[in-house]
Amino acid sequence: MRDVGTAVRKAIFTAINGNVLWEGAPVPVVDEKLDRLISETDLYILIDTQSETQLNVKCHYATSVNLTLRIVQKRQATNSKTVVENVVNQIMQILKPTKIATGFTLPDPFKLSLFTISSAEYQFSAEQGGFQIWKLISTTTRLTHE
Amino acid sequence: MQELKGSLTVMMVSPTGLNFRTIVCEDSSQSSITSNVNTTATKCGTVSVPDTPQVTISGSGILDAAPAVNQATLKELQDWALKNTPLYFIRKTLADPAVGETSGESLYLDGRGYFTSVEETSAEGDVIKFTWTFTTTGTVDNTPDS
Repeated sequence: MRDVGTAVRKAIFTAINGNVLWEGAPVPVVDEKLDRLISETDLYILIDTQSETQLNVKCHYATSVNLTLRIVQKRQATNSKTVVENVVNQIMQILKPTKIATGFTLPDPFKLSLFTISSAEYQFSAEQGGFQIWKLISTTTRLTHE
Repeated sequence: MQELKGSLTVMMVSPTGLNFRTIVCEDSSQSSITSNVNTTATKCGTVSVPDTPQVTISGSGILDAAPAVNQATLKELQDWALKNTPLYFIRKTLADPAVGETSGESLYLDGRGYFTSVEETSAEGDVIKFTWTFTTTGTVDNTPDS
C-alpha cells in the first residue's frame, strides 16, 4: 500500500501552476510549501483541505481523494466575484477540458480512474482594510495502485 | 478464536476445469446453501424432509479494463451468461500464513454451474460496476482435493 496524497496534490499543482493567468501574469499557487507571503498578492490559489478514503476492492488498492482548491482575492473597497470566477474558469478548463478528458496525469504506479469537479462555493469575509472573497472548488480523484 | 479477512475469499471459474480465472475486481461476494423443506403434519408429529441443497454464489465488483490472463471481469462474465456456458468453479479462501491458514482450509466450494445474472451499472461520476449471480448445478463439494 502507498500513500497517494503527494501524487494527486502534485499532479494538480503542476497542471495549474503557471498556467492560470490574470492580467497577463501567472496567478500564484500555494501549497504547504509557501514560497511567498500571500499578503503580497491580492489574488492567489490555495491548495486547501485534502482527504483520502480507501475503497473496498479485493484485487488492488483503490482510493478516493477529495481535494479542495481555494481561489482567493483581496479587495479594498468593492466586492466582486468576477475575478475569482475568471480564475476558477481557467482552472476548470485545465483540469477538466472536456467531459472525457482530464488535464493531468499521475505518476507510476498510480492509475487514474476518474476525476470530477463536484461542487463550488463562494465565501467572503470583511477584514481590516477591505474584503476577502474566495471560491472553493471541490475535486474528487479516484485512483488505483497495486 | 481466529477471524479471517474477507479479502482472502476468491471466486474462480473455468470453462474447462483448468486454468481457473479469478473474478475481478470483486468488492464483495457471498454464497448461500438453501434447501426446500417438505413438511407433513402427521398424527405422530411433524415430519420435515429437506430436498437437495441449492448452492448459489453472488458478488459485486468493478470492471477491470486490464485484467491479467488468470482473471475474468465483466466482459467474460457477460459472454458466459449470454451463451449459458457451463463452468467449473472454485470458491475458497486463499492461504494466510500469518494466521496459519492454508488455501481452502476454512472455506471451500467447488462444482459446476452457470452465470444466471450479470448486471452492469455505469453511472456518471463513478466507475463501471457490476453484480453477478452464479447458480450451481449437480453436486457441490466442500473439501479441497488433496
